Amino acid sequence: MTTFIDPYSSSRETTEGTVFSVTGGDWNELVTEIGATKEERIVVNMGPQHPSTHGVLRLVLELEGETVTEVRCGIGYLHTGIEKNIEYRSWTQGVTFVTRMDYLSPLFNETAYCLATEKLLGITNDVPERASAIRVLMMELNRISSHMVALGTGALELGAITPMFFAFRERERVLDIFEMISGLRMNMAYIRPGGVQQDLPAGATQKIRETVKEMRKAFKDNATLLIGNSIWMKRTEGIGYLDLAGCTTLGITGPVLRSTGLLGIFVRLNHIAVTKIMILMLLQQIHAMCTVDS
Amino acid sequence: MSDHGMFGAAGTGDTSGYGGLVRTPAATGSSERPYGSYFDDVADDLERAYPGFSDAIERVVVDRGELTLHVKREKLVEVSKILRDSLKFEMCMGVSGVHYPEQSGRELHAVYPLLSITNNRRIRLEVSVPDNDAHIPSVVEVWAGNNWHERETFDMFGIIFDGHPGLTRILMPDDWQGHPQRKDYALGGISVEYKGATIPAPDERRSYR
Amino acid sequence: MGLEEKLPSGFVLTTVEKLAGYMRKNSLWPATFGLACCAIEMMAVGSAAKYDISRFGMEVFRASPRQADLMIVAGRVSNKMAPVLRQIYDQMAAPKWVLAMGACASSGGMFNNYAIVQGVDHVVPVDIYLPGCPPRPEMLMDAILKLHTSIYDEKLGPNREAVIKSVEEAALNALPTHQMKGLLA
Repeated sequence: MTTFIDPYSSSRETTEGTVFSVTGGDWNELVTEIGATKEERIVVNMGPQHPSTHGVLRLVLELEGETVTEVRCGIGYLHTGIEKNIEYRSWTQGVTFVTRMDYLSPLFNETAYCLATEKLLGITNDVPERASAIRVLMMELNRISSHMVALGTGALELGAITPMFFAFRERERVLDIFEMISGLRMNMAYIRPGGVQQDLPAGATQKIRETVKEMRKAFKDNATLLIGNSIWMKRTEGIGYLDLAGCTTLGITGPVLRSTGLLGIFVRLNHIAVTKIMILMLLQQIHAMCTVDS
Repeated sequence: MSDHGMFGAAGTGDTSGYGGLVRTPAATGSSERPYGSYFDDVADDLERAYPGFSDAIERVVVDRGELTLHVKREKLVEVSKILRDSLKFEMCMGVSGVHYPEQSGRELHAVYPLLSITNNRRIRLEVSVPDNDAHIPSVVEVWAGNNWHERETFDMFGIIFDGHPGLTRILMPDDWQGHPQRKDYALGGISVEYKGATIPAPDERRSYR
Repeated sequence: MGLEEKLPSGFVLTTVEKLAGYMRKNSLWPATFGLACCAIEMMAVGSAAKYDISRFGMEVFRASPRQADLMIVAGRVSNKMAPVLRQIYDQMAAPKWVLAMGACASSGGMFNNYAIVQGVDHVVPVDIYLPGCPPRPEMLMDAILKLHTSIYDEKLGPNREAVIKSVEEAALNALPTHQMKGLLA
């Protein structure tokens, strides 16, 4: 066995400050130890069960008034051992597990897993063009539904309840499309190694076009509520500032990295059909970025 | 009822159906030059920037379009600093642990995928350590984001990262014994009771032929 | 419950039972215990977008368990989370009910491994189990409505004790699962 850290030892000092081992039910000891070291700071446990954490995240906050000066995160409350489970399943069954890793964007997890599997098998170029295009299509729809949850619950935490209703209304539209195409609303094991589970049913593209048209109009509801809203701007602008050096040190990609002003476009283009679609989308995105005044 | 054939493994929980296949193990040698695409540039730049290249990098493997540098654990921090500063691999995507119980002396591997935004390149560093001396120097001072990733690798595999500011369990409860993702750690499931029958846990099931 | 104990069961007590049951079921306030994927479907049910539980008076997901009646355990409960689950359940005031939403909460689901509690009934007493992965919002509403009918039929006072005794006797004399004949035997 490797070196074993005694769970019943009290705090120990490290270069990062004091490290506490918690086993549950010992909140009082933790508070007295932290409280003994600092003065005039309130320590609040925003525990794993909390409506704002949307899932489980334990935050031990040190507050001075309303400002959070330090935060310690406790994670692991949703550790499921998925990877170990997959070791006892076939490669196609693994998709059903991987899909539940990030349950707001199940298709992205599936695609990452399937691309890796196909690379290992060496069949990356044998995946049909249509399957690649369907993958991209479903993933982008999934992006919309996931961002709707993010926007809705983000607004909910700041106290705005109506944007959540609007956002979930749009999400329901996307989930209808998912149900039509794959049979399930969420955690659909639709993208499988080698392609997609089945082709799009008849009428799917028509339904997607209509839904997108309706959604474009319906997004205005949320947009008029939030964009330019002084409360929203004060609560979000300049909060949690992270510049480019911070992002690269912490290994952060995605929208946070883009918010630093880095105009880098990271797209893994591994099929010509995907390339055409993605270039079109990127052009549209650049056009949108240039026409919205920031 | 004993039938033979390729499908259906006996004695393991492998329900994939491919238990009878014999797979050749991955080759252990280095790949040969030219490596292809930008991998040659990376290797050349690293050799130029780091004189101790030949005794720090054990193997260079190019497999399926991806470059992996196998680094000795003592030189890991040096190589990382050179890669970050001179070759502009600013971002490290974390640490993954791997456990190969059959490779005695090199059971635990730690894999660091690196990304260079300036050059749009991806490579991978791999460090191997034996089970009884599973210490790897921490790269938190090079890429600070690896803090939690190294904690996770410690939690799941038992690799101790020297110099880590606060190496504790992160996913399992703090007083958990054992390192779950190792191959010799049992899946830990329980058998499920149905009417008149019991289905054992996934790692103890018979093969479904 | 002093007065009903002293009166003979019959007309007065059943009317109180029905009244109490009616009151309880019609404004059951859930406590947020959303953990994983089922939580998203629970949010879809609570968000009034298409499936709306505020028609049952349940859209107020109380953050504080002390103000909640129903704990919907939505999602997989890991071993690290189990003591927290029990603590939240203990902090709820009686009368309280638990709905195990989804396969992971009912039985551990597809995750039969070291990290997940194989059914939250190992930790808290469950009143109704809802299978699905994740269950559709309509399935959740159906489970809630079934729970409503069972809450409506709950007895009080001496009737309640009689019910508890008969249920215990039935459970003690019931055929164990491994002796039943199912499709697998």
